[in-house]
Amino acid sequence: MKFSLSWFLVGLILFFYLTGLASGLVIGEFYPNLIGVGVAIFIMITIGFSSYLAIRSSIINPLQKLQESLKNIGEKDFDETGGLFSSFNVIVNDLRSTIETLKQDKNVKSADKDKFEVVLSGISDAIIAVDIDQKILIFNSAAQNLTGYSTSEAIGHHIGKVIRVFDRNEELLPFDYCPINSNDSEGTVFTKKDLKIVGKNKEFFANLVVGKIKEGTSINLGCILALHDTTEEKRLEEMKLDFVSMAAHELRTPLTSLRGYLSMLIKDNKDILKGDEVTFLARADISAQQLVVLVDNLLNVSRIENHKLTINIEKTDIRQLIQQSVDQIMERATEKKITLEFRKDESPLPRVLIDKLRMGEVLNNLLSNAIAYTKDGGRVTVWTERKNDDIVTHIQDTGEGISKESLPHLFTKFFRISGRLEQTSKGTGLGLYISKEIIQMHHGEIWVESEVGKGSTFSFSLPTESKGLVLDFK
Amino acid sequence: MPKKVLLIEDDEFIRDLYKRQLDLCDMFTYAFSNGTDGLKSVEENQYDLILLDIMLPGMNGLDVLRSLKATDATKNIPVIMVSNLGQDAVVKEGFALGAIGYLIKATFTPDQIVQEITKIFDQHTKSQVKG
Repeated sequence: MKFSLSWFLVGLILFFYLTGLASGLVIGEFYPNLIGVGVAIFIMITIGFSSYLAIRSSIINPLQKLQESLKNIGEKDFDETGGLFSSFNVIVNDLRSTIETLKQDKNVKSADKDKFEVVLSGISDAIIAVDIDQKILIFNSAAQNLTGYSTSEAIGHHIGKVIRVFDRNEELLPFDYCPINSNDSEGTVFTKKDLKIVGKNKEFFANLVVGKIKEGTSINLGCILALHDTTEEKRLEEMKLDFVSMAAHELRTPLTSLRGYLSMLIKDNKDILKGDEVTFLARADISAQQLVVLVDNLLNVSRIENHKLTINIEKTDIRQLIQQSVDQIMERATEKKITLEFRKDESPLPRVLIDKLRMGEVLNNLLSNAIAYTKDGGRVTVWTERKNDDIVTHIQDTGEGISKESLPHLFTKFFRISGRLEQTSKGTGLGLYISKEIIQMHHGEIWVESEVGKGSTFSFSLPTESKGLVLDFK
Repeated sequence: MPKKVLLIEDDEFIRDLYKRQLDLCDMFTYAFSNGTDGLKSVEENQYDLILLDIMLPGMNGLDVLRSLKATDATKNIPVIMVSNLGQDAVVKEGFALGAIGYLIKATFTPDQIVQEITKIFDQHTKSQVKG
């Protein structure tokens, strides 16, 4: 409408111009100089004004429309501004739908994030994820409860600053349990039980499992730590250990006097006692001795399980120790009419670094087994030999031997050879397990060779001083 | 010359067994069932050796040992712990407090334990002369 109005105005001006021109010519007849100037001025003004109006109509107005249309883009009705803006329409529609999609995406993602966080906080184990610089990324609520650190105190901080990890007395550093360099590894990279974890003025015991994923490096994820709190279990375990120690003490006291009186009775009255009476007392004493060994074994297993078994080493002549053990068990061998022989090699033998008491237990276990599993009238032979930098001790019996199926399990805790129940009701299946543990603590090895019907040979090696090992005896 | 030995042991049977065996082996033994009576006896007698149980009524053996080592008149008397407690921590504490030996009763018959005691005592005496 404005468009046609402008042209109307231009037409009107043109009309006046032409009229004016005609009038000016008429007037100019009478007032030629003045009128001519005025008419010229009028004409010039008129032309200028018309030009302005013409420019305004052809350029400024369309621009104004464009501006208005652009203003409308934010609103709705810009279709009526014509085809010129249809491309804008397409773009804006695209933008609008993109924004919609983004909004939806964000909602989905935040819902996923919420779910993830709910799951994490619902886990009773502490879950800590660290980036490849070992700085904490995720710290769930169990982690907060156990360590005493809040999320803000933990996230972004180096794992080593938030928790300190101790394996008994030795501190484990972040690189020990979260090896960042082995980037190609995936799955569990570290696992250890009963570690002491020190947090913010707080400490607890936990089993630690550390995992990695292959894509870790590309998404800046170093390791994921899962800590299972074992403080309560540890406390109960210590109570159990205390109880076992106490029970052992209580059992040992009456056994001490039982053995004491029996041995006195035998020794002091050997000449007066009638044939069978000596045997009876000797058997009672052997049984009391077996009870003492049994209590010792139970106590030792409890110590091994709790890492409380320690050894105090000293330079020892192994042959002297073997002789003592053989002497101690001779009575039992004689009782079963078994020939027990220690073939002493007189060649010089280097001393070994051992705990005499513990090694005495090993020898006692092996000799007791040899005698228990050998029939009356059989033979048990003991000898030592030097093999390179080791001293090897062999205990050979002429017993019934051990089946191939049983051999691999022989040194396992509580393992007893089936079918031997009637003969071995004395055993607990602990002796060989304890012996293996003790030998290993001495950096030695224990093994067995056996053939059913022919007998068994148990052997163990102990390193000599000259082996040059830096022996780490705990 | 017979050695004068103090035995502190609360179990009546074990006390009786050890005293008999020690007396047989030329060790003149005074036996008490608790730490307090034992310590009183130390003030009144000159002992060559003290055999000390750990689980005792009232004052325990480690407390008795601590008290002996804290007194000038008694700190040089050799003490051997004779107990059925075998925990490493207890054994270590015994040695740390100044015991010269630690024997687990159930491992030995009375004659064996007296042999062990004599061995430890002789070694200690030798090292004292050398030192």
